[in-house]
Amino acid sequence: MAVEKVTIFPCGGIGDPVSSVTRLAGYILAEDLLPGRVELVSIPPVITGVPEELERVQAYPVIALDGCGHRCGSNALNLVGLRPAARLFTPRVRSETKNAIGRRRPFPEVSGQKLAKDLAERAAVIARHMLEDPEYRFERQVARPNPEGLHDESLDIEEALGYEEVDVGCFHCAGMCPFKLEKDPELRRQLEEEVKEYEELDGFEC
Amino acid sequence: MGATVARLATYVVAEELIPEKTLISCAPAFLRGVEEDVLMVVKSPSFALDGCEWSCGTNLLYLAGITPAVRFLLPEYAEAQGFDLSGGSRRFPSGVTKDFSRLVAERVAEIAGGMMERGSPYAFQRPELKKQPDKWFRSAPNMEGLMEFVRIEPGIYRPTSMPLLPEEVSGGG
Repeated sequence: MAVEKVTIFPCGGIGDPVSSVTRLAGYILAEDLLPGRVELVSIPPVITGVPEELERVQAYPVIALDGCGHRCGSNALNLVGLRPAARLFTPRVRSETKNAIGRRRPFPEVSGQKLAKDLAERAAVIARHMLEDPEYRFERQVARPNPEGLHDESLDIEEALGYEEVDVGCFHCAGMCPFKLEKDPELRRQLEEEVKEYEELDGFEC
Repeated sequence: MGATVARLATYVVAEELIPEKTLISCAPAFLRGVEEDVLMVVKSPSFALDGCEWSCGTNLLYLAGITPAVRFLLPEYAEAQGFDLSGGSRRFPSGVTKDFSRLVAERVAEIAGGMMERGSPYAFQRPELKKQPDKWFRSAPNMEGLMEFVRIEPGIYRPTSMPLLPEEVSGGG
């Protein structure tokens, strides 16, 4: 049976400009593409145990959105003993779409906004499959502290979670139900026509 | 919304107000163990900008055995400064989100400037990083029962175990 909701879990960084791209991808997915069906959850409240946020990542499949080679989104889930239902890896998506991350951190430049759309499109395809395919299976997960990898970057998180790349930048995690990736031209049209790109925001140059 | 203000304020401090003397530690990278993100909070006093009462910024440091030098509770600070954040955007750096983040940044820079001023009495002792997974998932609003604070002004707190801020010593602020 399909699931009621899906959770998107962007990397949540602050120092690297790519974190603004993944965050924007989360907003596009949760606010523009699949409002009410995708919940945006950030890393800190999951680790500290804010009840509502913790409930979301246990009750619904999580799409982790790693921004850079540190793979912090995946690591954070692993730290609480949860497995992502899918994972997007921004450097791989970028290598295909060629949209640059950019340099600005408060809000991405237009190229970064395009990259955010690329990520959101892939996440939406995956999420819709989970939400709509009656054959998709998900069992509630139970969070528990898993200090493996805490303050220790030597942990190979790809191996720990058993990731397998099923399409460029889209990874399946071992032990989770496989997902399908059927591209939808309507989704691309919606992103291009309805999700505005900004060159300037309230006097702030993007 | 508070999280967006915290993020934007951080950029204003680090990129405009105190460039090269401010380091931004990324919470997920800190948890991951990215060396620079860990060293920053061990070697220098930290400002935690908490976007809501759940205080994840302060709590993440606490879980690693680190106490921030100063904690901002942004909704309380906003109210005290006459900002209504309810209509702000969490997605875009605009409107009240942008305006309030600048005010927060200016206050952070003021306190930090006092700490770094030549001849400042502020003394920072390096904490030791700890792994304490037994303390996870015990979140309490405003760190109740976990950390005690002195209120410097509405929305700005100093943990009682941390050194007095220069403006407390001089009676200003």
